[in-house]
Amino acid sequence: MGNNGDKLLEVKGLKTYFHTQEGVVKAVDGVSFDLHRGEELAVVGESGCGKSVTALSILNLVPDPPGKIEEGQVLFEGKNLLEMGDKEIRQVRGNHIGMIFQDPMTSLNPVFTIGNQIREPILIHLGLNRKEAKQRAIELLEMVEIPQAEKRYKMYPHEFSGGMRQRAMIAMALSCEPMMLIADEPSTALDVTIQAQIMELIARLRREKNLAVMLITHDLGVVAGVAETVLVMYAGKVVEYAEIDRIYYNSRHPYAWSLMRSVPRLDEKRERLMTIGGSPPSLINLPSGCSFSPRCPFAEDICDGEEPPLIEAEPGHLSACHFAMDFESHGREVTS
Amino acid sequence: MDSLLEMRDMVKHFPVGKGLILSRLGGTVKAVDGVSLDVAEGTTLGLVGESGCGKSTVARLMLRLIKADRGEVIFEGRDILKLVRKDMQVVRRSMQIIFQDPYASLNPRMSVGAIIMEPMIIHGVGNREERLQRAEELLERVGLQPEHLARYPHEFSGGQRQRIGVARALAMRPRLIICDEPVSALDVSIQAQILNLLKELQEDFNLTYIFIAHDLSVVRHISEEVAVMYLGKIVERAEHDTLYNSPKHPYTVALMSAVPLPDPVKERERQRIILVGDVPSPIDPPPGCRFHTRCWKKQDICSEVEPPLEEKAPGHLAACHFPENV
Amino acid sequence: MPDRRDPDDLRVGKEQPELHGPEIEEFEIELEKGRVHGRTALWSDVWHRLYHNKMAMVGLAIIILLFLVAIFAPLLANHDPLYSPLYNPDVGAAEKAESVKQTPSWQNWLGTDQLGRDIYSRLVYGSRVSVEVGIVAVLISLLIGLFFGALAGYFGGWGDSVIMRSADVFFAFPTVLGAIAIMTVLGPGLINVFIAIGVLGWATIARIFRGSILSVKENEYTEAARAMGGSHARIIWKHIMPNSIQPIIVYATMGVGGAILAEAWLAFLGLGQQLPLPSWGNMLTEYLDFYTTDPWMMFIPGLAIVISVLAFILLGDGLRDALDPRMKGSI
Repeated sequence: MGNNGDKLLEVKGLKTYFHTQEGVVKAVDGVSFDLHRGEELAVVGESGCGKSVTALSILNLVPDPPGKIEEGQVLFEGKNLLEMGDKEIRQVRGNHIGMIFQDPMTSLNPVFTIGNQIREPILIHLGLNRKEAKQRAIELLEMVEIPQAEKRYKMYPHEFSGGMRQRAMIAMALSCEPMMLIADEPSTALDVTIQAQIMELIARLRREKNLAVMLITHDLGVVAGVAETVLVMYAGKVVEYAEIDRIYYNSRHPYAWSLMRSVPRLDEKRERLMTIGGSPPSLINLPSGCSFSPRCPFAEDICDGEEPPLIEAEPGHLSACHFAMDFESHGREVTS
Repeated sequence: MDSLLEMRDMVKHFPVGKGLILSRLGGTVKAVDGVSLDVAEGTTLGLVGESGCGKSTVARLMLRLIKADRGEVIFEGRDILKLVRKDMQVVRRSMQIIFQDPYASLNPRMSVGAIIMEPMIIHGVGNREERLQRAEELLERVGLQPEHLARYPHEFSGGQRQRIGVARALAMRPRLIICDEPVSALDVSIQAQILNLLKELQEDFNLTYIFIAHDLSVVRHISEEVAVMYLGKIVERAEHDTLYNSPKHPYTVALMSAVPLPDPVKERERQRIILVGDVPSPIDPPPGCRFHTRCWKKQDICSEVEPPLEEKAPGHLAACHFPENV
Repeated sequence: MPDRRDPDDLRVGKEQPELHGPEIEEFEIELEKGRVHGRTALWSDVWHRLYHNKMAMVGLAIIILLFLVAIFAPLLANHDPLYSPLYNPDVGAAEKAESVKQTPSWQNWLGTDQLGRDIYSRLVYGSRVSVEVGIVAVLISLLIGLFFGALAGYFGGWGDSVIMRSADVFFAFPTVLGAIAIMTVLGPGLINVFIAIGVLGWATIARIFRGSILSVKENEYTEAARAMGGSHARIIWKHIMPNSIQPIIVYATMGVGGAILAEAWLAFLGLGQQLPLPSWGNMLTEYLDFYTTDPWMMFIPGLAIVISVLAFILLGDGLRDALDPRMKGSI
């Protein structure tokens, strides 16, 4: 999977559960994937599918309690991040792996200037002195196309617009020249014209620095514009994993297949959108068998009983469906 | 076709900062600054724009949830902004609203039944038997079960709560429903359900919708006519296919260019127009054409004279000195 | 595509707890527009959570005990709380000397005080004062505070400013001085204690309630009610009140404890229940004089006060967590 660069990140069998009063929430339940240098991977899914928790688990940022990484390995350049002590992993966070979050309103500290916050990882990881760090921070602000960088350096987050704050976050994440960037819904909270700017910026920076990007989002349009590989998640598991064109044009899992047909598109008008009945399941009481089967238009009896394994339906195309190759011709007889 | 509702020259400015005297001198947010629109019965008018363009304010002005500074709202032949409370109450039966946030639009302490029956109680319609009956009917019509009447909102998912909101809006058999971003907060797979439901209901009950959204793809899907707003003004308006195939205002062009398509091949081939800079502040909108600060076609006249919203092609209005695709 | 029957019924009822429960939403960052939606409590849910909170239940038990003692005081006391052998001409001098400051015995379960009065009975009757002060003072604060808080919060405008600035004045007053000032004007009696503490407490309640109202007022369900044509009264009563009352419940519960404590130090200043009628506060004040010779005496009313106040705090804490588990750490 992925491009020809060497493997930067290998996630193997990751399981993160939350132990709550109501029961155990299996937020991430056996997720595996790779990320190569310079590759852009999109992790797609709707709310509650576990994509954000996966990202947090990679950097071991899951709040514990109630969350716990039960099983799995996260190999970054061969070393398991989950086994690292506090000091060691802090060397990785912000330094080798940068992360940006969805809502720049709440991810930036309102009482410190933007400059101060961008400078922080530089001071921590790069060992520059204050003056050098400030210089570098201003360069970073320019790199993310914030006009009047020197002036803006001294301003506070509330003086920035949403788009600019997100750029500042990107600057912070890239300040130490990381090899990898995790972007968790970087454009969801932004207007569409600003969203286009931000995604364009990330794409440009990725090309310039050969960054590996792990993009987490529910927006299929955004993914189509930037990703090379797509990982589709549902109810805590990986249901499909392939190159982007395969997923969009030749999906081998009913979930992504139906999703593509239920999204309204700007360039066509369909009379009636295809829908996926029901809603995503509760992660505490997952149905037995395939978690998607209650909503699947092609489900058969076996789907309710047995959980489908993630298999290679075609070379380089993984799918967790009993009928990955030919699901269109399945389905119980249902009277509408 | 007759307009069911017509809004003329609506203006609403909000003072910056609350308080007694001093803070009011700070200037005003020109949220809605001269907006006129109309919608024909049985059709859907889509109102699109990014945050701060004033579309939500327009919705609230239409329903008299906020007091307008100037302007008229003609509904069923009368200016409803001038009606006394008694008469307005009657009008309220015919105009309803569905909100964006399925979590905040239902009172968590009221059962679903109470929520749906509330409009009937307020307007004194029917006795308890009849109201329950109607509430059951409404629930079924939106795809839920009668036993849900006794449950509370927190027991339902986002999509289901939106359905409850729709049932509530239908309770008094309205003619017009304003949909304020009804699917923005829902998952993709649920959005389609709600959109289909709205379309069905429109056919069944000859409903008129004013559909407000920031998502162009959604608006295209459900509207016959679309109006685009920017910084408190309408900059373009046309029939949906025309707007999408041949937009005239540069902002509309940029907006559509910015919307990503779930189609990797097309995306790779696309030439995008990326606007430079942020949206100007509605407190101090740019002089002349409000879009000129970000417009690639800008010329001197654009910063001096505000272009009027006028017909550039049959049935297609745009406010631009140098429209595209003409 | 065959339309399967909408499997939404998978989601109904408690068997399938909602996906968007607070536990999950707290840790899923990809929330709609970055907002966090707490699961709001309904009374049965609240009780359920409270019931499982051991500390809160301990507090509740103590409070119930306290109320029962106060109500059934005449039945529980085994001596006349006012009777002092020293003032009884029929008692001999030697006996009188003996009867004073006796440590606990079968006769006097908690001993006798410096005038030979039974401490246990005085304690039991004193509980009445504490309970009365607690409830009445808080009620007064609530009445005034809720009224003005609602006015300020719902209608806003200059009325809001006037009310809140007045509240600020009350905040600025150190409570001790304030209480003394009020009682100087009103006189030292017990009823005046209720008034003094009650009147001083309205400001916090008003502020909390107003804050609650402000955050609820802009909710979409309130807008929906207005769009339907609901009157102000209906909106306040059905939509805003039930949703803003939670922090008040918590604060009022803890406030009862606070009022009990206030009675104690007012008694120290000689205000409130006047001797020889017992109150925990004046008992404590009296017995403090003997801390060198008979230190055990002052612990009795002291402990009673501490335990009662603690009970209200525990219950209040528990209520706060039960009403909204996310509120932990606030207020």
